[in-house]
Amino acid sequence: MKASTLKLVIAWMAVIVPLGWGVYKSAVKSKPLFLPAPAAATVPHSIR
Amino acid sequence: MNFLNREHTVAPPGFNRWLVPPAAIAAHMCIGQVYGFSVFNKPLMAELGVPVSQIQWAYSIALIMLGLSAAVFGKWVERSGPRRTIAAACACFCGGLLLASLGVHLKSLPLVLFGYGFVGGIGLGLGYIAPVSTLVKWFPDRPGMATGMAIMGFGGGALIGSPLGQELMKHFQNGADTGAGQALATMAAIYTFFMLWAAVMIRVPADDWKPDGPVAGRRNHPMITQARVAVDTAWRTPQFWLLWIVLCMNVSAGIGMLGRAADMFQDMFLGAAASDAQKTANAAIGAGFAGLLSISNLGGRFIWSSISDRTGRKAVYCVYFILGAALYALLPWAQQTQNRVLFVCLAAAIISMYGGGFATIPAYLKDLFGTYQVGAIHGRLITSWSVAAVIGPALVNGLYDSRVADGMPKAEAYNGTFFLMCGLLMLGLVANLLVRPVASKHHLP
Repeated sequence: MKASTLKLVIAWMAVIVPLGWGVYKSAVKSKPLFLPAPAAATVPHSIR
Repeated sequence: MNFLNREHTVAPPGFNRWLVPPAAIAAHMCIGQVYGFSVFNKPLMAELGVPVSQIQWAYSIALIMLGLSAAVFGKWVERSGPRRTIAAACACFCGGLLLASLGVHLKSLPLVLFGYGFVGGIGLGLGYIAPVSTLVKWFPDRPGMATGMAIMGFGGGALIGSPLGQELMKHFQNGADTGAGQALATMAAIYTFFMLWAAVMIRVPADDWKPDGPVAGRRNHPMITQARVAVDTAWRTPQFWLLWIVLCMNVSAGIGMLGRAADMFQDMFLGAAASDAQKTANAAIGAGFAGLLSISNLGGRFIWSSISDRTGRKAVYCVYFILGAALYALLPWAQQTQNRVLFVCLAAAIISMYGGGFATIPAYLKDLFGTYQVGAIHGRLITSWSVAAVIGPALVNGLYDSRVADGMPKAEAYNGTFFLMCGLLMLGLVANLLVRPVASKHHLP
């Protein structure tokens, strides 16, 4: 029973760890979306 | 090679079925790399000296081959069992990566297209359907959750494949050498390990196996059959083609937005950059939006398909279509009021349902046609994905380009495409509402 539980934990970790890494990398990539927009002038397309 | 035979994968009594989802997720995580192929666009342009439009054919061919190989080899997959199929998928997908790597080395675009697109695409089709149909058989009490787990892995493959490709290219980069060839070869080695591990781990339940515990109440629902329908019969029923339309409309509506997410956000909320630094900052924000949608796509696959076990598949697709159309209709208002937070939340919810649609369809097929050849039926149905992958972006890009050509500001040019997406979702809703249980004359004795 213990061996089965260990096997289960290892099997799930083998997919959760890479998946978690991928989600973390995407979350980091999303960070600029939540930062205040830089003050530098941009020209909105709608008023060009 | 007896080890690969189906009979050698039958689980012994007392086998813990929760050991199967990691194997299925691992296989899907590897082939899901195809969604992250775009990180190779620029390096391959530099290596092969061709425009990006030619490089992108590798991705397009791979997706077309995914649908075709799943449809053609579906019956073989059911006959051969998941272990042989995942091993074959590994040989094709990882072999395709190696051929593409060789193509980069030899500066041959045709070899890259043949390797990654054609050979690798066959691996995608095989690797996509086998784990899903296996999980449906292991979790007859919770098929939505089971298929959601596997197909979530496919979505996760993009989140892993993109940064992995970038990190590897950064590692191998040397002067004029972009490192793309070595990165592809290294990825082939990594994915071979994971896919073979999945092939070793995967098991099918014995014919008389039943899950422990009480049987879920929905098993007696009229939309859930206990009968068996063969694939050659299933694809001649109206139910198959209605679900084909359901998936096609759901995917078309989502993929149209997902494919342009980064540019869309920049055009609608950030405007034209006044400097190079601003352009870089805007691109980072646009990429952030695309990244957030990818996470939402991933979560939606598991969450919505798990919910479908409680609500039923037809009801949850009605939610995807009605709520999805309502949220799409609100996007222009979010743009006009320049409410970025609202726009991001609406888009994330829409894309979660796009992912949910992918993940719920195998359970819907299982409900209507039984588990007998559900993998083969799923294989034929996902040809609609290949069609949607063409028509979704074509509709969005075509309408957007024509409105911009007519002089409409870029920020507002997307609004028409959102209403077009509402129309596609309404078509999907009609098809879904027409789905009825499969007539008993189609059931196997």
